[in-house]
Amino acid sequence: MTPPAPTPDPLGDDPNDPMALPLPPDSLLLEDAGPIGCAADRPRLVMQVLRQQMAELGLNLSLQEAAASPANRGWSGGDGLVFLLQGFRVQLVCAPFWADELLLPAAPWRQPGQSPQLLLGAWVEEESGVVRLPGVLTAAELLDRCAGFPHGQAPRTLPLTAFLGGLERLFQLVRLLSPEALTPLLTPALPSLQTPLPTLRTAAAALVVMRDWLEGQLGEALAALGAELLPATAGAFRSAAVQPRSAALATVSIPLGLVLGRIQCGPGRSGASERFQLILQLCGEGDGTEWLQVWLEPDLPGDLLPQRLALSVGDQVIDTGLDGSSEPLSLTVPAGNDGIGISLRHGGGSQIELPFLYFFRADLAQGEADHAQGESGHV
Amino acid sequence: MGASPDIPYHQFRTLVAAPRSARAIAIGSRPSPLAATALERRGLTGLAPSTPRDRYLFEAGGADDDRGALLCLRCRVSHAAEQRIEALYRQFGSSHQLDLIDMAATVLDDQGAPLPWPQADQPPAGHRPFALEVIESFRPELAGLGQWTRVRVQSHGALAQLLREHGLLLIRDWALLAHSSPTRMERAWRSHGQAALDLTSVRRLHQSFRRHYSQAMADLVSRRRRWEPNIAFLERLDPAVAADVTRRRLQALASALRRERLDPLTAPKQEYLEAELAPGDGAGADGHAPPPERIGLLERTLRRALAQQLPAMLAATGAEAALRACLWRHYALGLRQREISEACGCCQAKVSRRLQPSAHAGVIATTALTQLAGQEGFEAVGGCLKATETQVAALRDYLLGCPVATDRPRLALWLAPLLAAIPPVPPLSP
Repeated sequence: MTPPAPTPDPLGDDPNDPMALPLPPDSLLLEDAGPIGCAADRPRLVMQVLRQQMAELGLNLSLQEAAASPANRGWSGGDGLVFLLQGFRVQLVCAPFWADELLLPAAPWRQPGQSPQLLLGAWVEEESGVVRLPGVLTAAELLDRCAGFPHGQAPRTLPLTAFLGGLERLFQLVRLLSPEALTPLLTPALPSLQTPLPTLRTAAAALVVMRDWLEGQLGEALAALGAELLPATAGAFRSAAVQPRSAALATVSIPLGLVLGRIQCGPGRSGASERFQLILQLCGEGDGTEWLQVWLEPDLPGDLLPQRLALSVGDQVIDTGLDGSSEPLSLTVPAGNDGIGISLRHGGGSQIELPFLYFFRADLAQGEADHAQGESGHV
Repeated sequence: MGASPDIPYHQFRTLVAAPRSARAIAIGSRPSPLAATALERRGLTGLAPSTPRDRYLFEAGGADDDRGALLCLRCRVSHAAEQRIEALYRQFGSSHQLDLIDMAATVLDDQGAPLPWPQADQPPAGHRPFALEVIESFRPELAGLGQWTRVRVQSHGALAQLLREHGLLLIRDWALLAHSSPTRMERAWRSHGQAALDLTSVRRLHQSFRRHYSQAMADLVSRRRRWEPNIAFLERLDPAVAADVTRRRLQALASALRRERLDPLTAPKQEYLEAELAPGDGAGADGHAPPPERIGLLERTLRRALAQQLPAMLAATGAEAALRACLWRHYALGLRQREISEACGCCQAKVSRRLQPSAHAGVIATTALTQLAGQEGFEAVGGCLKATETQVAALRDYLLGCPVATDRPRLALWLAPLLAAIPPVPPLSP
């Protein structure tokens, strides 16, 4: 039997087809990759590379892997894990080597007080034992990139090009910064006046009740930040852009400044090249309506507020953008039972947080609730 | 008179003695009289290799346990394998300092000894040539032997390891297809695709592959062998098309993706090996040198940190210790990576991996900054992210920069006397 004559192949084999590609410069080879890996091995391979590179560079850093990390409780991990490096919580997320972006899980970032401080992206070729580590993102940088993260249902992705500085950046940050210098996305859970008393009592030292200002009591927490009580309508003399309400009851000013990109208050402000004031004004009408007006303004009229300053009051956020602002930043919060979290963040990562502000004291709030419901109760 | 077209069926391509060559061996031909006889017996003398003829030899020869037919196929594989490694060598040999003989040794290792047909239930005894592995796994219903050889070369562990050492990643089609985005696939096909397949068909096939590949990976119980699509998988991708045609199409898609990644116009600029700094780079945080009154403090601190880092830079055992000492010694002389590789007898990729001057400079700069933190001008270190990173970068750049009127980085200049004070590491005897 003779075989049939060959037929032309429209998709003929290309003898010059490139079968290999150069390794990207931020790739690391596993010295001892072991047998052929699979997708589930990616986090393990990255941790192996991490240890390998630490040994190569002679770095003796404390590394606590996923199994022992309390941050991993309640999270299955998927294609990644959370680990502790020199006390910093780092989320590792892995992607296939040839993918252009990775999928960012939100679960670890929703844990109040335990959310990661750094995000390490890794692209892994598990069959060949090659790991590409383009860099890390801080929680603040992640939020800059993914507004609203970790809230919302839609999955988030990040391209390889979003990561900065390679593995070297991770090592530099954990060796030079204190863990407190990198604020995670979520601050500790917000205590509410609706919670049982033991929680309120233990949280009392960190709470500020604004009605105390009417009696000239600022509170230690605010005083420690260099805050001072001002005449109620003091804001009228500073800025024409923010018209203090005629119903101003009390005004607190917190002098702030930027020193080498870091927000400073109190005596630390003395070396600041850019100075500004955070003003808290408790307002009220005769009908019992109350609200808090918060604004940020430069020390001197006509000055600009620094660029990349973001003022957060509860769920509201307002910022000065990349060009700074000639107008003050202003937000208003109506009275309620929940505490108000106020923070000021600078683009470089520096952040200052005020103690939670409450309109009412707990017993007053409960008393009003009891009166409204006609029930007797105790806290 | 031209060469006979049937040579690939009765001459092995393998390593042969070549006394005049630098290494006394070269890729050459070794005739197989048994293969020539088998060709004649089957009426294939003088005919060029083809997919139907490969299949005929495979099926008829296997059924008859014809060792001559097996030799024909082994010869065929050796020619196809040589084509593949020569293509790799043409593309990357110069830039990545590949040695063709080293590459050939991984896949052209068949000396033509008569061997039985491989049996799945009988483990091989003795050395098993690469060609025999190819034939054992051959699926003629999916591809010709030439294409099948290419697939096996792409999966060859020893070749992959060799290329990896030289900074190259041997890429199989399947992971590349599965993890490349539809956008990238379309871009690659527009630039590098073949006219035989239109873009709509490409999109559809790529999407189908990604969906079924994910399922196949999820269903895979053991992932300790490299996955290959079988007929059932290929038929699911496009039931209207024969499995071997779908496979060729997928290979064409993967080829376009690889070309797109290599294309300097469409791919992000890549510096394949660690970048060499130009003389005069990196004088300070803003491109300005530190103030003179600060230079003394900075240099003293950096030198102290370098001395602390030196043990890690040299740490290794056995032959590695001698190699590292050689690499750093030549780095301290101001040589570039290619010069260092020639002086120390290893490829540039290995020099880049073993030296990592930029990474070590980063560690040294960080160590120095921990010692400077809190001093005047370094108050923000540790508390402000931006200021901290700016200062680390400034110190690292200063370390990797060259003083005026020299072309050696400060790291190299300061390393030289430290290395001179260390007893030399003797090279291991061969």
